[in-house]
Amino acid sequence: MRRSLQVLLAALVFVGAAITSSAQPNDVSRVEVSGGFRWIGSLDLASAPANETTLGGGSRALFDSATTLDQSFGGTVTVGVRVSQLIRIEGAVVYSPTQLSTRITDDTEGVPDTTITAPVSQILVEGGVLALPPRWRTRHVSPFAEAGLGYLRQLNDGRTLVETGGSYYVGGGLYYVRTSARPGRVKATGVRGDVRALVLHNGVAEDSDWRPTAAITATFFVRF
Amino acid sequence: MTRRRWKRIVCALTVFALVCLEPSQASAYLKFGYEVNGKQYTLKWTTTPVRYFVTDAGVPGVTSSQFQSAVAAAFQTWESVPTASITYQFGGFTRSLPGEDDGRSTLGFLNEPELDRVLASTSYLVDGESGELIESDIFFNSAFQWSVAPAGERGRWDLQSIALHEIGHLGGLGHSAIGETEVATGGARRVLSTGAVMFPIALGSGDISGRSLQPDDIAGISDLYPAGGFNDKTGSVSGRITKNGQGVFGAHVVAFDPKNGQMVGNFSLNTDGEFSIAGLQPGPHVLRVEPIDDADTDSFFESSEPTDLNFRTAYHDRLIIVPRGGDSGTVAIAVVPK
Repeated sequence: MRRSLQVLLAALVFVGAAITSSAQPNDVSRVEVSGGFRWIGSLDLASAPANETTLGGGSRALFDSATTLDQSFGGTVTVGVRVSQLIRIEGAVVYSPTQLSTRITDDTEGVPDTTITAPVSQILVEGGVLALPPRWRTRHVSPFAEAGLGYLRQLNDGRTLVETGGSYYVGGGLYYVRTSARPGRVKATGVRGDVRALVLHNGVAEDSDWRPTAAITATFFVRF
Repeated sequence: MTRRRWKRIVCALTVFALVCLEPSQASAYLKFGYEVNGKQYTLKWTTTPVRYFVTDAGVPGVTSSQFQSAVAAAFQTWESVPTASITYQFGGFTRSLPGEDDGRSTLGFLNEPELDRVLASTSYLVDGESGELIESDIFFNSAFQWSVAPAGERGRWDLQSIALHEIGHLGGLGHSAIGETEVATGGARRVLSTGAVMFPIALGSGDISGRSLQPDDIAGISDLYPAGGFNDKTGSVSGRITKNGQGVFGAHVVAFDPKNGQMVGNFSLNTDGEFSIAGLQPGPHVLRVEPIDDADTDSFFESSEPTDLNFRTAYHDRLIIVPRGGDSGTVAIAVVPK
């Protein structure tokens, strides 16, 4: 988690440094389709000792456990529509395989500490809004801020269990845009990167706690 | 139906050691099984409410009325499990004693000083032809000091706690091995901690923590008398324990839910090493395998059974995802000799 936050802070500094330019591109495109990759940081899910009852009602742990949903690296496809010079709305699907990890420690029978895992596939379906302040755009670079929410679906390797949940995010990033030289269907192409503070709940955690993490996305886009 | 056709079988809670029945093979929980005319039966009541009677005799410190109140509270605890359908009904006081073959389930005190490690004992009477459970009696050994004090009494055994364990047997449950013991001076066993009311050894006199059921107990009674969508809402894990390629009999397998720390256990119940644990909340579980604690095989298996104690405690290297209303599929766990 600490590592995720460091990545988030570094990226926000990068975004801040990029918004000092002032020229504005002549972007008349309306629809944007993009595809690329997303990294999602790990989530702490639960810490639970295997407690037994002792004389007088106390407790004694047979062992301790801590469970996390590991960081993941997956693919994403996004479709966005420009609503105005300032606002763009978009929907995205993210497929991101990961794994549940339970760390077992301090077993009373002397079993060495161990980590036990299970593969998990997760799908995020997101909808969000991007704000692209025109005054900070340069010829090729457009910074943006974003926020949105999503539907989370996680299933284990054998698909014996399907869990659903939700997500919220806020973040920001940059477009690097190359406008098409000749008129046609493709108005522009480029790359986009963003960093998000992502909050997930339910899913394999199976509770209503909100669990924060970070996400970084890098995509190639085409505008029509 | 005549008395001669009836067959009495016994299970006991003791201070240090006890004797229990052979478990039914490949069951989803450690349930009692018995054989009548070559046919295997799982010991359980087929009609409810189960009527029980209380011997109209007290002991120093506990009147018959107080005794009845304490056991009624224990019966109520089992009845309160929302995912189990078992119900009980107090039939009244009786002059009969536990152990009499009268077709009535009777609870009461008996003075059995020679059973110096037996706090209480449950016995069953089954029809020798139909296999039907006729009655189940529980005796509490008045050679020990008993208490019904709400907060317990130092030096006296809490009647409600011990009754809760024995009524679990009366309902058909066997022993749970979720608990830890150590061998004390002189070779006796001392309990360090328990994770189930159905653990075969009481924690100690004065203790009242045994008045509350644990997840393992709830899974067990719900598996025997499922209700409230139990079979649809929970799942099971099954598999095989092997050592050097051969099945391990009597390995204690615990399914641990890392979300909440709940533990439900069972044993590998045949020489192929097969086990099954039912009544688990859907989701990931850790499987831990260990030999029976301190070689205390008598609490769980007949001495003639090939219980294997020579292997190291181990964890399965994968989290097992228990499905809702289904089984995990066969899980293979290999253990190594000590």
